[in-house]
Amino acid sequence: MTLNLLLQQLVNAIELGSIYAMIAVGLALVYGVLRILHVAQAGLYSAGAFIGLFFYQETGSFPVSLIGAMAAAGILGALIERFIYRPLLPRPRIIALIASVGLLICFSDIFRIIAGPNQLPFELASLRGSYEFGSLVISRVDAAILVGTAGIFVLLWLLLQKTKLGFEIRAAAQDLETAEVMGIDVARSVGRIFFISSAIAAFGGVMVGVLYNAVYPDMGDVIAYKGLALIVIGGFGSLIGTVLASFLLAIAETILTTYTTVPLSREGVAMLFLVLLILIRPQGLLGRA
Amino acid sequence: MLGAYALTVLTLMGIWSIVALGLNIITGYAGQFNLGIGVYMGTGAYATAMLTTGAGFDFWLALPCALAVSATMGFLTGLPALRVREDALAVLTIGLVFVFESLLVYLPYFGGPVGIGRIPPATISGSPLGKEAYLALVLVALLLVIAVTLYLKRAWIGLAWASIRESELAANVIGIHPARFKLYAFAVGATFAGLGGVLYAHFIRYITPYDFGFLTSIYVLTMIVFGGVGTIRGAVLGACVLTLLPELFRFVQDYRNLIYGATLIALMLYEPRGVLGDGSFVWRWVLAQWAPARLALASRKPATRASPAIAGAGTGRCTKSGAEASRMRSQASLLQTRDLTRRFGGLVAVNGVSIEVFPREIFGVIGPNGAGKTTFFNLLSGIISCSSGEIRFKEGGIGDLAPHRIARLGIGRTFQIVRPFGELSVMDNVFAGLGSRYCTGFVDALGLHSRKSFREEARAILAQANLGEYENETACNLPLGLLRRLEIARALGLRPDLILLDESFSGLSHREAQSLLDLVRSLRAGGMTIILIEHNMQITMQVCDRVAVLDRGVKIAEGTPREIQNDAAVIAAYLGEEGDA
Repeated sequence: MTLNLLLQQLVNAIELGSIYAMIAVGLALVYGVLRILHVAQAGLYSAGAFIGLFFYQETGSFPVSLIGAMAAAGILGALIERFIYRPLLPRPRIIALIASVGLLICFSDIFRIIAGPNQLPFELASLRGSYEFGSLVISRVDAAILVGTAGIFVLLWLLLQKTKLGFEIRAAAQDLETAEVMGIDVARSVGRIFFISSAIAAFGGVMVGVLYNAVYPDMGDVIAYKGLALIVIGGFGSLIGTVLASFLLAIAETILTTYTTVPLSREGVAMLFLVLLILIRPQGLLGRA
Repeated sequence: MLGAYALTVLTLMGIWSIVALGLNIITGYAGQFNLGIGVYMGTGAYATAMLTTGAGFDFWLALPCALAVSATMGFLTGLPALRVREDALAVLTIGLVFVFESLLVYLPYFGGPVGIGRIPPATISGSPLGKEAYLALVLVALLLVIAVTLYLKRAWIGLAWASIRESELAANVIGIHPARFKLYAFAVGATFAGLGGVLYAHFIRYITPYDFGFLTSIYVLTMIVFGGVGTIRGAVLGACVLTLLPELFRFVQDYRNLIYGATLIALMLYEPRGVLGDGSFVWRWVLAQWAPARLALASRKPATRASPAIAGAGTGRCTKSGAEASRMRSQASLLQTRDLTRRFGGLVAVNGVSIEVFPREIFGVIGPNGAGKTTFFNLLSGIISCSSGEIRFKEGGIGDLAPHRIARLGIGRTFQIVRPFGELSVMDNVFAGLGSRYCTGFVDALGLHSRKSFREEARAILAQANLGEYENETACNLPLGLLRRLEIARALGLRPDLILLDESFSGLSHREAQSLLDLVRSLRAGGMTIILIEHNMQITMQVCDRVAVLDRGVKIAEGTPREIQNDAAVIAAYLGEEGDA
């Protein structure tokens, strides 16, 4: 029975880790090329949820709404890069960070004005119900999130390692200026990175909206700050480190809040994890010193 | 008389100004990102709330205790902050504010999510202060904070903060201990923010953990960014405007946050220095309006002209007679390295290098690109530690000392890519160099650096470096040739026995190089020892007494310039092996 509980918790933790990873990987990609702490990523995550819900209500088709949300958020992300971040790049980096906080505030307020402050249900009959493996129960939504995340990460890995675009992105992440001199269209690569990371965030937003059957204006706030913590823990810009950090944090949070009575909220646990890690290993899990 | 509503708004403006000035010390002056100022405000507020409600302290007794607790909190949170910079520091401070809020909510001592209520009002001789009196109290506190800020900015401590903000590495090699001054900044900033928290707690008289969370911290950061980071006027303006705006925008209550966020973005895009920041549109306009008045004032003062630069120019005393060389060698060496080695992973950047440099010698270190010359300098100045080997300076081992300690022992240095304190004046750059000699403890750090005696010493150094006429110029406006001299002038503030010049001649015009050469010779004439890294063979041959040649981390030759020029190994290293070229 306890083993079963542990397994169940592990499934929950992996699911939570997947959600974290979807936000954090986008942040790490953006940080990798532009060295910007892209807090507004969380705005794109909730944008994804709202747009997905809208498409779902209009068309009744979940695949259409998921793809529509990812595309729309992707374009939104690329526009943010083009018109807000790009002009700020030559400035001190705190400038872009503050603009990003401004964006996040705008995002949640726009959704509040359009859709109201209350939680909207994201009822999806096809993902209700669950699979049973012996005594282990996995809901369909959980399964969809796990499979979807795995699929997205495999695609992302293939994209980065096997395609010309991936090569250009990796070159830009190494050194933006040199990549430019070597004839890589850096502006285009960066725009695509924003498209990809925003689309992944939107996927996360839609799935979490379905999971908790709730979409609301500031659903991205907490995850925004956790995402920042995760890219620091993972080692700035290291994608694998960030994914690793996402799962470790999810496991630590789940275990600590299930089995102990630490006087901290989940956010508190995550941030304490961050503070302790910086004390021990300031360059992050997989960062270079 | 003012209405109750106006009094409330004015009091809040004063309180937020105090908190903003606290953040201004940490982020504006010392240049340390902090997105968690709420921690310190909350510490002050909770300390006074608990002391007055729980322990029955009087307001005036609780106040100093709460400030001490806030300062301690600043110090303690500063400790992890020392391990990271810039973005990671920003994220760390976000982390701290969440941990702080979470602890207040979940630990049983702080009243949980509902916080602490019934905080008694401030009193004077037993009777509670009315609204007017409390506003007066807040304004007095604000004036006090402004006065302290103004003073600190003009003291050694303010100069040390500015140096660290402009270039931590350069500050370190002129003898400033960055960690110590960062902790001071955190403690002072936390004290100010804590004072704001105390005043807030006794004004609102009911506090919850959420009053001092991440959003509050961002709000205060926005204040100083709005007004202009690093300026008192900016922090106060930002605090006033951001307190007033929500009141003014009540009619568009629904769109308040949207307007707030959009303003933030627009400001970053079009006026990132803040409305009243140095160099912002409005501030330039204000200065232009004042300019005639200021000129009139200035013309009444007696003109203080820098003494014309003479020292060094054209002395050209470069004697390399055999007699002098042997005299030097008979003395004890000033600097000695033995088997100095530094590995980076599998790469051995400096491999078993032993050199000996004698007093008043000009010693060259040359070698092809990637030979390990700059790594060698970084080892000597303590920026990186050696993997094995030994460095002795004036007969003491310095291999394991931190850069600021090495600097204070009397080794100055310059950088291949110049690192001036760009936003500071030329004079202040030199003051910063003098600082480490005059400001060693906390009490010294509170002394003013612009006193006459320091000014005269700084002027003498500027004259020696032929920079006298630029003393009031902002450093980043100088051309490269002058920046190289400025770096030397800054190092001269240490009164060093040894100066390390890292490719000081590269990128200079012939005339600039000749005048720098004269400076180097005059320094030696004044009793200094110089080690220089150089690519330019002609310069090396002209000025050096002896030369060591590095190739791939190994010393392949050492001797007088003439001996080196004819050394087969050196020729091979520079031109490639036969058939290899």
